Amino acid sequence: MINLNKEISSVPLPSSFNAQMKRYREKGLKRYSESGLPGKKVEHWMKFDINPLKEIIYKEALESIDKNRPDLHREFTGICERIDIINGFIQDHKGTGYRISTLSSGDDTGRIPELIGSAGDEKGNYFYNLNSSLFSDTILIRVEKDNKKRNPLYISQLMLGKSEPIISNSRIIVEIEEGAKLELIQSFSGKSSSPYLNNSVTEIILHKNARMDHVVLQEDSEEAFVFNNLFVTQGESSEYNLQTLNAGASISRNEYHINLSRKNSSCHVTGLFLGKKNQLHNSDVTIHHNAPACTSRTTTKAIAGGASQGVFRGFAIVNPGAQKSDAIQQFKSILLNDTCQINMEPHLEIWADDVKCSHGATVGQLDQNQLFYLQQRGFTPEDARKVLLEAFAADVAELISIEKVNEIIKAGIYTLMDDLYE
Amino acid sequence: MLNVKNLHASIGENKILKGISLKVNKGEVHAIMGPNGSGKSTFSQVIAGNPAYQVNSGDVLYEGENLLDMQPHLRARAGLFMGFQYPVEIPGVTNIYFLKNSLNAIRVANGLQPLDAYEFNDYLGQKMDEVGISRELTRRAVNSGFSGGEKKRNEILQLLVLNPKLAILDETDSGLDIDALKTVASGVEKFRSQNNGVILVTHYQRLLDFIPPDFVHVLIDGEIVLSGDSKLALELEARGYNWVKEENGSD
Repeated sequence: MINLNKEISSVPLPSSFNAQMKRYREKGLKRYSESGLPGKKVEHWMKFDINPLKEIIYKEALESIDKNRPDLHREFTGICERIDIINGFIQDHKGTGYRISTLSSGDDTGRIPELIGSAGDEKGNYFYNLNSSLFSDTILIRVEKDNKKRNPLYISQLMLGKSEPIISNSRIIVEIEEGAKLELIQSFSGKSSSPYLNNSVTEIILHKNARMDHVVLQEDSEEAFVFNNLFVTQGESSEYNLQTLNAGASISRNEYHINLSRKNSSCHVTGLFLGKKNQLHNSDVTIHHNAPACTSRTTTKAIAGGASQGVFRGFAIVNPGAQKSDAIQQFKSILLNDTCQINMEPHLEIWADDVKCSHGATVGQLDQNQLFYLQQRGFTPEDARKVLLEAFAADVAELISIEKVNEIIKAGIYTLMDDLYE
Repeated sequence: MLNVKNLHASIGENKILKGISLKVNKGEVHAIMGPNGSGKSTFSQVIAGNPAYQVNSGDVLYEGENLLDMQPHLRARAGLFMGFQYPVEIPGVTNIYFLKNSLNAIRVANGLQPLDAYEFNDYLGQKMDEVGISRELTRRAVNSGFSGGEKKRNEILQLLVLNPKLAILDETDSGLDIDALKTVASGVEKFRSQNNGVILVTHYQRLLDFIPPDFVHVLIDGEIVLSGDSKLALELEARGYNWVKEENGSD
C-alpha cells in the first residue's frame, strides 16, 4: 500500500536489480523522502491542485493480461511495431526488429544501469523521485545506425484496474546512436472502476547527428491521474521533434526537460490540450540551451471547454556560452465558455548576449466575425465552430512528423474535438 | 423577392436603421448610396442576420418567408448572399475547403447532390477564370494575408461559385484600384440575370458606371430619403449628399 502523504518505507527490490540499480533506487527513495509531493504553496504548483490524487491510498499495480483489454490504437497494427506496457509490466517485445532489453529479462545490453538517470536526473523532482523510488523494471530501446527500414515503434502504456486504486511507475530509456533515427509513438490509456496513477518516466539520449520523431498521445480515462516525466539530452547536431496530445485523464501533467547539450542541436516541442469536463492539466516544459547555435521551438495550443483548467509553463534557459541560441515559445489558447480556465506562462532566462529569443501568449475566444462569415456562407453554427477549432489546432495536427501515422492521428484529434462542446 | 417594411435596427444602444422600406424583384439591381455612417453596412448586416445587430421592429419577407426568423446559415442556404465590406480572414482554413463546403452545404439544402472533388475543381476553375483569380489563391487560407483587392475578388468568386438568388454587396468597390474595380464589376455583371436580384451598397458612383442599376436609393441617417433611377447616382456624384438632406428635411 502506498500513501503519497507519508514516507515510502521499504519496497521490496526486484531480484533483477544489480548493485548499481539498487543504489539508484535507494537514491530515489532518499530524495523522495526529502521532497515528498508538492503542496499548493510550492512555486509552479500553485495553480495545479494535486490534492485529489494525494488523498488516495494506492496498491502497486499487478500484472494483468486481460484478453479483452481496450485498445485505443488498433489502427497502428501493421504500420507500427508495438510494445505493450500494462500496469507497468513490459509485455513481449520480441520480433519488433528493434534492439530492446529489459531489466526483468536480464538486460543483455548491460547498459541500463549506466544510462538510467543520465538524461537529466539532477533536474527531476517530485513525481520523478516517486518513480525512481518505486520502479520495478526498465525497458531500453537502442537504435544503431544501420540501413534497415523499420516501421515506427509504438509503445502503449495501458492501465487496467478494478475496484482498488493502483499505481504504476514505468521506466523507459531510449538511446539513439550516432547518425541513427527513431520514430516513436507513446500512448497513455486505461480502464478502471477506481482512480489510478500512471507515473511514467521516459529518458532519451540522442547522440551526435541522431534524430527522433516522438508523438505522445494522452487519451486516458476519466479515472486517471497521468504524470509523464520526460528527459531528453541531445548531442551535437541532433534533432528532436515532439508532438503531444493531451485529451484525457482527470489530472495530468507533463514535465519535460530537454537539454541541448552540444552545438547545433535542435528541438521542436508542440503540445495540444483539449480540455473538457473537470479535467486539470499542467504542462511544464524546460529547454536548457547549454551549447552554442542550438534551436528550440515550443508551441502550445489549448482549447478549454467544460470546467477544465490548463496551466502551461514554458521555460527556456540560455546558459552562459550558449551563443547564437535561437529560442521561440508560443502559447495560444481558446476558451469555449466562462467556467474553464487557462494560465499560460512563457519564461526566458538568458545568460548569453548573442541570441535570438522570443515568447508570446494569447488567450481568447472564437472570433464572432469569423463565425458569422462562415454562417453567411451556409455553415451551421456547429460546423462553423468546428471549422474554426480545427483550424486553430491544425498547425499542431499538421506537424505530426511520423508520416505513416500522421493522417490517422490527425483524424483522431479532430474526432476528439467533436466532444469539446458537449 | 425581398420586401423590407419599416425596418428599425440598432447596435448596442445606437439606433442605426430608422424605418427602411425597400422592395427588390427578380432581375433588378438596386443601388443603396449614402454618406458614411448613414446605416448602409448595418442594413446589409441585418439582412444577412449578423447577431451583433438587433432588429427593433419591422418586417422582412424573402420569397414570402419571414427572413428575420431565419438563422444566418438558413438565409444563406435559401439563396441570400452578402459580399462583405471587410472579408474576414480565417487562418488555417483553405479557400478551396471553404468554397467546396459552402457550395455543398447550400446544394444539399436545396435537394441537389454535393459536388465531388473533381466536379468541384472543374466548376471552380471556370469561375476563377471569369474573375481572373490565380489558382494559387485557392490553396491559401481564406482571405489570410490577401491584399485588399484579392479579398474583394475572392468575394466575387464566392458570388459566382454559390450563384445565389439575392446578392447584397456591401461596399465591394471600396479600396479598389480601377483595374480591380473593373474585374469586380464584370463579375457582378456576369452574375446579374433575370433570375436574381442584386443590392449594391456603395459610397461612390464609379461602381455604377460599370454596373448600371435599375434603381438608386439614398440612405441618410437610417432612412431612405430619396429613390430614383440611375440618373440619381450621377446627380449625387455631381452635387454630393447635402442637397438631398436639405431638400428632404433631414439634418
